[in-house]
Amino acid sequence: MSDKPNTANNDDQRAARLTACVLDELSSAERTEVEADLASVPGKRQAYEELTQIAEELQAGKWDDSSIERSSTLRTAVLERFSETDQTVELPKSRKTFSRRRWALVITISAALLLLAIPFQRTMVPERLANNIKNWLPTQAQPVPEDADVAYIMASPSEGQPVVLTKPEAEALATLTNAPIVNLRDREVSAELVEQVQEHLRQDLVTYGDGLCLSRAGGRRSVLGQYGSCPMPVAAGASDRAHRFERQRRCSKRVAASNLVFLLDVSGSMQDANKLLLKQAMKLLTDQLTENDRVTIVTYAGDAGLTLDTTNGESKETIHAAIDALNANGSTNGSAGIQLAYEKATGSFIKDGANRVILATDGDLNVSVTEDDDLVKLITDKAKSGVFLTVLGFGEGNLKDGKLEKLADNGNGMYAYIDSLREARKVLV
Amino acid sequence: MANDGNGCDHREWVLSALDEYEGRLTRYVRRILGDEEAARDAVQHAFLRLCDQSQTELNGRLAPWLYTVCRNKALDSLRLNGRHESLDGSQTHEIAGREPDPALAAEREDLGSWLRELVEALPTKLREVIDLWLDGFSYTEGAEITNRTPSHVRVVVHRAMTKLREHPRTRELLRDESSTEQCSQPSTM
Repeated sequence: MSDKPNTANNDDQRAARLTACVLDELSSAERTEVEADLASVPGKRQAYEELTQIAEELQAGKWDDSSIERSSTLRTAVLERFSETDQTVELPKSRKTFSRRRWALVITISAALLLLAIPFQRTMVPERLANNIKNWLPTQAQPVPEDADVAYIMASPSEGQPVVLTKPEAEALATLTNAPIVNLRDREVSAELVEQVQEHLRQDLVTYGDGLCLSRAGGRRSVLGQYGSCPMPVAAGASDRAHRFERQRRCSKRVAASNLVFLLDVSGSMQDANKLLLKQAMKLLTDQLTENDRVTIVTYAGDAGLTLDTTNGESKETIHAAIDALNANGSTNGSAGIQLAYEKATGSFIKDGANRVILATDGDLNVSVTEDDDLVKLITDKAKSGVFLTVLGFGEGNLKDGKLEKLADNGNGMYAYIDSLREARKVLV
Repeated sequence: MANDGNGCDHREWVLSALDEYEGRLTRYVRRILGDEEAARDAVQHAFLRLCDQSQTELNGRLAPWLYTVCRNKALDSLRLNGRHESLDGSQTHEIAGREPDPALAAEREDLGSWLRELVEALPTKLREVIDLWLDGFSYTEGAEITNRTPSHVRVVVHRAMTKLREHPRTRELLRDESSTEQCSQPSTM
């Protein structure tokens, strides 16, 4: 059992289900999963029972509100408000002047508050937070390596823990959220800057799975974000995975169009169930597209093939038909497929848009991935031009995560593993 | 005035809401602001706004609405006082400084009163979600009130509960209770 108060982000969503289960806040499907965990994972059952006991104790000791005195002033104020209303109903003219006066008052007060708030906001320096971040910075004994690509820092939305980003990540995030970037190296973390960043992130990020995901209320989320790793310790005992921050970007209306090139593995190894899942997942994603978006489908089996040439996101029927017509055959030639996909992505490049190659596979890629490999070079080069790679691993088990992750890392993209439609919805929609 | 229907009905509706929620809301806001008078002001603000609110528009969401308005008002006054931090993310580091007094901890013989003690010492952000849950709000409603996503609330509640559960004194008391009540089930901790 962990005794660390700050458990890693990536475990939070999963772990939180246990508490949610105790507090009866789970859907029946999730409840079933948690109950299966209870039976199989050692220690879970005990945690569950302890949480239940704590919840019961808390419930039992709930506050007694009857001890709080009712305010007679409040009751009078409410009654007065109503008598005002009654009068104004009888005298429509006076109501009008009254409400106009009231509006004027409201506007004056808000303007005054706003004016007051501005200097307050300026002087409001969260020194403690800035200090925390400074303290967190590597000490003398553990300097930031000169060649480390970790150079930027942002405060995380939920716990005030700094999030370390690589430079391209930080820049990508900054363009998305207009959030300011704080350079880790110069160590001049100004408190105002931290606060600005925090405010931005508080609004735009929610934790999800392995890390953070951008969200905007009401916005649609379609494009997957960056992935990077941090060579420095974040918190003692935190796992390496905790250093990896996955970011998902939700396209709000303000975000430009998407240019998506699907690169689909239709080789024989792609099993029927996985293929079905892939088709469903793709439909989920394409349903989110609009006329500004572009979709291309490239498949690879024995030969790389173009299944659907670049198509407007509005033509859903064409896209769905192409998805339905996908068939599995042949062996995998990932390399040629990736090249074709990148060609297409460059061809339909949308400036300032989200240009992605989305590779969906079960992981049986007939390509070797090494640093000096042509394929990796291609992916790295294209990432610089703004076409990012997202890798979706489909199916259960048998997945060569390492290889896929490496591809995604080189392509400045992210890697996600999809084993159920629910997961697909979480990642893609 | 946005009230619909009969003015008298509307008044009765507001007054019954006042009877039902004034105490709860005052306590809730007082716990955010730590100040009785300021809490009363925020609650008054909410009820005066309720007077202008259409009953049908709220459509059964009266309690979350009242809590949201109160909370926003409370946050406004925190901001004006330059104490905005207390509900933002920077709280985690505060808990070390607000550990309950160990002497006091030893005095709390039963789990219930110890937990209440401990909840008081939680960072505001964590304490708030526990409060809301104890006030009978679901995660979804809690999310609406605190302007978060339900999944975020889920994580925050979990963090709060984990903090409660993992405190050494809680562990001790849990162990005591399980050894007195269920001798057959020794703790594995």
